[in-house]
Amino acid sequence: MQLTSRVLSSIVVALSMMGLSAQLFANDAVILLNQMNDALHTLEYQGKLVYLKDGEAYNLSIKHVIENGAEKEIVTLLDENSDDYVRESSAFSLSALPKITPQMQQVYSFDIGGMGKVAGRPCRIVLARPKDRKRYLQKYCIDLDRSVVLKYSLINQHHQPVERFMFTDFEVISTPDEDLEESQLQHSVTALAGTPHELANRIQTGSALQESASGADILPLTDMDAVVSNGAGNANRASADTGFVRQPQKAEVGGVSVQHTEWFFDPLPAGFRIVSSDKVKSSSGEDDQIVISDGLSSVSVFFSTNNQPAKAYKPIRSGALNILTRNYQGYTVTLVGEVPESTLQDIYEGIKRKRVTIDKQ
Amino acid sequence: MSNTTKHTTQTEYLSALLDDEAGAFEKRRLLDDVQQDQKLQQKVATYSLIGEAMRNEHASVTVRANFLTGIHDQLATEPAYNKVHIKPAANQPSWFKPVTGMALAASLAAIIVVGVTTNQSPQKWQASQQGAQVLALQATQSNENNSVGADLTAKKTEPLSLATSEPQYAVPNAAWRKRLKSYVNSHVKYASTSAIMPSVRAVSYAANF
Repeated sequence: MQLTSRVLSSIVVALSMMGLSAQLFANDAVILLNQMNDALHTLEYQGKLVYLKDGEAYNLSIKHVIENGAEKEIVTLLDENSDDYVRESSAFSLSALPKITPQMQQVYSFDIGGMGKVAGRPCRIVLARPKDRKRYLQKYCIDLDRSVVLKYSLINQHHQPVERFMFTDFEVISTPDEDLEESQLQHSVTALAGTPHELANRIQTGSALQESASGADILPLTDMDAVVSNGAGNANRASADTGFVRQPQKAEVGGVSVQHTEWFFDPLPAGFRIVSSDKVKSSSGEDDQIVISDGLSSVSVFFSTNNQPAKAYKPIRSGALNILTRNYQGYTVTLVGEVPESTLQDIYEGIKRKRVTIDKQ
Repeated sequence: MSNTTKHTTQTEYLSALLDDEAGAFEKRRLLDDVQQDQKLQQKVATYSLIGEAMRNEHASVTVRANFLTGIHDQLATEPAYNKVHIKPAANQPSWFKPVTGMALAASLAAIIVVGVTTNQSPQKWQASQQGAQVLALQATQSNENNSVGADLTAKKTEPLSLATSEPQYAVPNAAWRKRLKSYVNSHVKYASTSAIMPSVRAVSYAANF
């Protein structure tokens, strides 16, 4: 009897330790991924990489610099005579960068893997494993020294990679803003300080993640989701449950009333929430873009008015990027995102519209 | 001996190539070899077929829209066999024939609906359902007009085309492709959740479309 109870207690202790260590691994993975996000935006670096998708290999060079507080990323396709692709972002702060939050663990499990070596640099494998079939598995190998992702794979539900990239040459140019780096370093150190158990508790409550993000205030995910920017610097409050979006209002002729369209997504696939809404210029004029994200994977939904007879286009897949076009009540709806096509279809099926007219005095 | 060694090495490289694990140099060299060696070409075809079969082992089987047309075409080319008119059994009640005919037609329609709509969009499903309804109707009419055991070759019905089950997709024109590129760029710029991949995706998308 005594022996049985000893065995049982040993099993309970072992299971508890296993659970705790799994939790610590997950927490370490989250910290590494957040450091990676910060590093990718704040470091100046350049390198060459190989990008594989749909059985094709692309050789690219990349240069990431920060000019006047804004990011500039220049990507060049080395195999063809094509123009450089330049992506410039507006001035940013660390607090605005996407963060992996504890809430994301509802749809992903984060794991630390073994060690790897890419472009001659040791790196740590980190996995973001989806808990359903609505998103891809993401596998990173993160540089131990500078926290930059050196290798990245997106793997579908059939365990096949849909796209991969790997640096073949990587070099950190400099960190232009020493204060920024010191600040980032300081907060990373603060975030990592303490015993593993303390760290685990802090991550559970989200405090470590907030500290690691330069100390700026970060809203909890549910509150962040509720904020939808209308592109004019204002922010509209939106219902996080139904994905309510208020588009910019358009005055009718005569100016006595305004009419606007409210788009709903009900339901949205688990974990996805609206993060922004804005007008974007397209070849046909201005279209509405609503961005939906689960934190790691994002989908843009574009709405354009249909002046011509509705057409259906075949879904397009380019690596992990899927594009789905449908016609909905006089609108052409185009969904673009690095999620499976079935997820785009699910999001599309949740779209609902409400027209609201407000009389003005 | 050296030839055996060469082929052993080539086989290994071939396997690596098909698994996407061969280096750039090996790829070039192997492709040169394949161009010149007919046996190697055959081997590539065999390996690819095996790989494809293994990858599709768990994939669902979809029936193509021209499945039924193919059966009709095949039947049309079949030789005419002895035409034996089977007399209906005398003891069958008068309602037996139409009921069994209707049941057969309904079963066939159900099978086609299930088969053709596998992995199809709602629009495709709706169109194929319409096709199946047409088939059921034709089969019922055929049953009404013919006795059991009617001459299949003599009674050549119009081949039922399920082409309507394929939604009519528009061919993306230049304007639409341009718009899609602008959408991809907007997605990359405003919806990115990581730093490097969006730009890389945009570059490779622009290179392909």
